[in-house]
Amino acid sequence: MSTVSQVERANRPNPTTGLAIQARNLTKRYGQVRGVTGLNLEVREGEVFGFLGPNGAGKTTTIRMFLNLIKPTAGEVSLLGLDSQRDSLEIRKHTGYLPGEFSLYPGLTGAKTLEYFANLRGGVEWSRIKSLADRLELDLNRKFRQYSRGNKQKVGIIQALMHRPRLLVLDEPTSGLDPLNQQEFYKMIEEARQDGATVFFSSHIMSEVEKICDRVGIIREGQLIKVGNILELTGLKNHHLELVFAEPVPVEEFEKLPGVGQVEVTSEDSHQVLRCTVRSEALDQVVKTAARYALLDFTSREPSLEETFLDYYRNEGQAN
Amino acid sequence: MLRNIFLKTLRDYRLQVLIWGGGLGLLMLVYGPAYNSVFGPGPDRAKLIEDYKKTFESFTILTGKVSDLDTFGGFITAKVGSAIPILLGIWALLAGSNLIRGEEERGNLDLLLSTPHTRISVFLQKWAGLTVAMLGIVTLSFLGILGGAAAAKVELDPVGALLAHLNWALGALVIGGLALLFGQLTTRKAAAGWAGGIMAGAYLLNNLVANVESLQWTQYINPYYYAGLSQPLARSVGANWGGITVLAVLVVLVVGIALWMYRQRDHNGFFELKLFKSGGPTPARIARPQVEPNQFWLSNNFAFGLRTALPGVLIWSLAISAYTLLILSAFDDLKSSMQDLLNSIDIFKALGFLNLTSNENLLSLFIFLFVVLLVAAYAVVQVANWTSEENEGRLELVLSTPQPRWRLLLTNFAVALVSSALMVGLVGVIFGLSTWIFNVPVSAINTLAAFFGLWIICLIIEAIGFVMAAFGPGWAVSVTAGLVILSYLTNALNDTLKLPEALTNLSVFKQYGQPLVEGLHWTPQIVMVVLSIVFIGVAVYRFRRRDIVK
Repeated sequence: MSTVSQVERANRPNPTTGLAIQARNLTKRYGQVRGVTGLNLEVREGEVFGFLGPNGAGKTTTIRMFLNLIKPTAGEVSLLGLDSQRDSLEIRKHTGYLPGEFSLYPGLTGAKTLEYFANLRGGVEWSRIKSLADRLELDLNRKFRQYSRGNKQKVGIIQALMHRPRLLVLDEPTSGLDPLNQQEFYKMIEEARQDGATVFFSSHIMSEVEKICDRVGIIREGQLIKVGNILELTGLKNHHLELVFAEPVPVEEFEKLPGVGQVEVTSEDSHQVLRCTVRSEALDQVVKTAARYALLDFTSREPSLEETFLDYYRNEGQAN
Repeated sequence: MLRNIFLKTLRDYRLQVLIWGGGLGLLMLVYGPAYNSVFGPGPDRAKLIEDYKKTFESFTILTGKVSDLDTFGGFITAKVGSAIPILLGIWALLAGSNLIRGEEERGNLDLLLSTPHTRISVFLQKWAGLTVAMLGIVTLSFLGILGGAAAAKVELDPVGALLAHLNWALGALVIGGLALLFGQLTTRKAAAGWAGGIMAGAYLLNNLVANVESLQWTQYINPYYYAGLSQPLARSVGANWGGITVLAVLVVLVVGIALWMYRQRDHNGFFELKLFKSGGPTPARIARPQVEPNQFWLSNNFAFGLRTALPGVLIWSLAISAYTLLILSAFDDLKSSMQDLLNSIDIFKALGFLNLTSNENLLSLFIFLFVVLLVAAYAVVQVANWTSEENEGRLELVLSTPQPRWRLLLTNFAVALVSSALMVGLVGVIFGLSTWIFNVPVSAINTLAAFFGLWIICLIIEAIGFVMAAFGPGWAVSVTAGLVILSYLTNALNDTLKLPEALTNLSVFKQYGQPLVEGLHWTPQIVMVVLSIVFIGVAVYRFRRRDIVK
C-alpha cells in the first residue's frame, strides 16, 4: 500500500516570488488576549530559518496559523506561493509538520503509527521510514505509550521528514533528544536543505540556531522585532572588551565615546584593567583612544547569539 | 484550599459537587410539589396509590422493591431511590478511575510524588477528598429533599432522609473504590468501563432476583443487595445497620486492596501478582526485524477508525447480550410471576402496552427499557472518542496531512455510525438466536424495528454530539451526556412531573416508544434522520472554520 509516493509524483507549485513563506500583517487575538500582532515575514525557498522567542512570545501561534490549524484574526500568509487557508490541502501535501506538543495512539507501535501517517500522505517507501528510524536509533516495534519522551519526539520527526516535503515547519524539534540524536537531526536538516527544502523551525537553543540557520527572526510579545542573517545579527551585538594598561587612564575618555557602555575600571597587579561593551561600529574609535596610553594587553570576545539575543531583548524591553 | 493534597483534591471537585449535588437537590426539591399533584387529597387517592404500587411492582427489575408509597418518603424512594445509586455510582466510578490512574496518565502525579509525601499519604488524602466530595453531593441532595417537603408541606423524617443519603453515598463509594482498584490493573478508561459494567450488572441482578429464585444466591455478593436492605425514607423498612456496616466494610476492603496494589506496582505501571512473575533473570530483549506493517486497516481513516472501535463494539454488545441472555434464560419464571400483576393495572394499557400477556410486551419491559439507555451511552462514548482525538492532541498531526477537515469529520461520523450498527446488530442477532434457543417466540418484524430504532437513537445522539464537538470539543461530551440523561428523565418522569407534551416530544426515548410491542413510528424516525443530516451539515460548516484546540 505504501510503496509509491504520490507526493513525489505530485506537480509541485512553482511560486514566482521565490518565497516559501510570506506573512502579511498576520494577527491572532484570543478575545482580549494578545496572540500575534501584525507579523510580516518572508522566508526564502531553500533556506533554514530559525524562529526565536521566549515562552509565550507567539511562536507556536504563528506556526499553527501557517498550517491553518488556527485562523488569523487579520492578515494573511502564503506558503509555497499558496494561500494558507484557501489552498491548505495542497500546502499540506508538500509540508512536513512537527508540533511542539503532540500525542499519538498509545496502543500502536511506532511502525504502525508511521505506516498510518504514510498512507494518509498517499504512501511513503518503507525503506525511507526505516532508514530515518535507524539513523535516530528508534525501535519501531515498541508501542507509543512505551516510548520515552525523546523516542516519541523521534516518531514525530520521522513523520515530518519521511515524505521528503518541500517545506518543513518544526516547533522546537530537538526537545527531548539526546546530544547524539540532535547531531543526527541537524544532518537530516542539512540534507533536506541540500535537496532544496525550506526549513522553518522554532527553538530556544541558540547554539543550534547559530549552527544550522541561515536567517533568524526574533519574536517578542507577539511582534516580530528583528529578522536577519546570523552575521547581521552578530554585527549588532556588543563586543566585550578587556584592556590592560600599565598606568591609570582617564575613564571618562572611554565613557564619552558613542557605542560604548558598561565601563568598569579595576586595579590588578599594579596594572589598570578597563572592561566595557562596544558596538561593532565603535570598535575603531575605542582602539584609537586606547592606543594613546601604555596598552599592555587587548582582548575582544565575541558574544554568542544567546548573549546577542538576550541583549536585544533587554534593550527592546527597556525601549518599550 | 491548596495547603495539602486532601484540600487540593477537594478543591478540584468543587464544581462537580455543585453540579451533581445541585442537580440532585433540584430534583428532590421539585418532587415535593409533584407528590402533592399525584397523590393530593381526593376521592380516588386510595385507588391511585394502589395502581401506582402495582405499576412499581411490575417494574421491580428497574426500580427494586417499593414500600410506603403513600408517604412522601416512600414516594421519593420509589421514584428516584432506584436512580440515585446509579447516578452517584457514575460520578464515583469516573472520579475513582481518575483519582490515581487518570492523574498518572496525564503526568500530574510525577511531580506530586517527587514531594516528601509517601504513596500511602498521597493515596489516602486523595481518597479522603473524593469521600468528602461525595458527602458534599449528598448533602446538597439532602437539603433539596428537606426543601421539597417544606414547600409541599408534607411530612418527612429528616433523620431518615439523612440516613438514606448516607446509604446511597456508601453504595456509590463501593463502586468508586472498585474503579480505583481496577485503575491499579489497567488504564483509566478500562477501569471506568469495568466498574461501570459491574455496577450495571450488579444493579440489574439485584432487582432480578426478586422474581427469579434460582439467582438468589448472587445477592450475598452484591453491594446493591446490602444497599437495598435500608430504605430509611420508608418507615416500614427503615435503616438496616447490618447492611450499612457491610457496605462500609466493603468500601474499606476495596480501597485497602487498591492501596496495597498501588504500593506494590511501578509508577505508571500496572499491578502484577508476584505469583505469575518468573523468578529468574529477565531474558535479554530479542531484536525483532522492523518490517513494514502492511495491514489494510492502516490504509485510511475509515478502516483505521473502525479497527480502533472494534474492541468496544465487542465488549458492549457482549455485555448487553449477557443481560438479554440472563432475562431470556429466566423468562418463564418472570412471565409466570409478572403476568397476573401486569394485567391488573390499567395504567399499563394507558401507556400503550396493549396485550400484557405477550412475550413482546414483557421483553419490552424487561430488556428494551434498559437496553435503550445502554445503547445511548454507547453513542455518547463514540462522541467521546471523536473529541478525544482533538483534546488529546492527535488531531494536530492528522490535520498536518493532506486530509480535508470535512472529510475527516464525515469519516469519523461514519465510523461512529457503522460501529453503532455493528454493536446493535450483534446484540440483535444474539437476541434473535436466544429467543429461538429459549423458545420465546417474538414478532420478527417488530424485533427488527426495535433494533433499527436503537440505531436511529445512536444516529441522532452522535449527530448532536458531533455538532457540539464542532463548537467546543472540551465540553461536547458532558453536554451530550447531560442531554441524554435529561431526555431519559423527561420520558421516564413525565407521568409524575406532568411536563408539556411539546417538551416530552423532544425526548428521543419517547420517540423510540415500544417498537417490540407496536412497531416503530416512522414519522419521528424520519424526522430524527433528517435532523441528524442537518446537525452534521452544521458540524462540518463549523469545524471547517474554527481553530483546532491545542
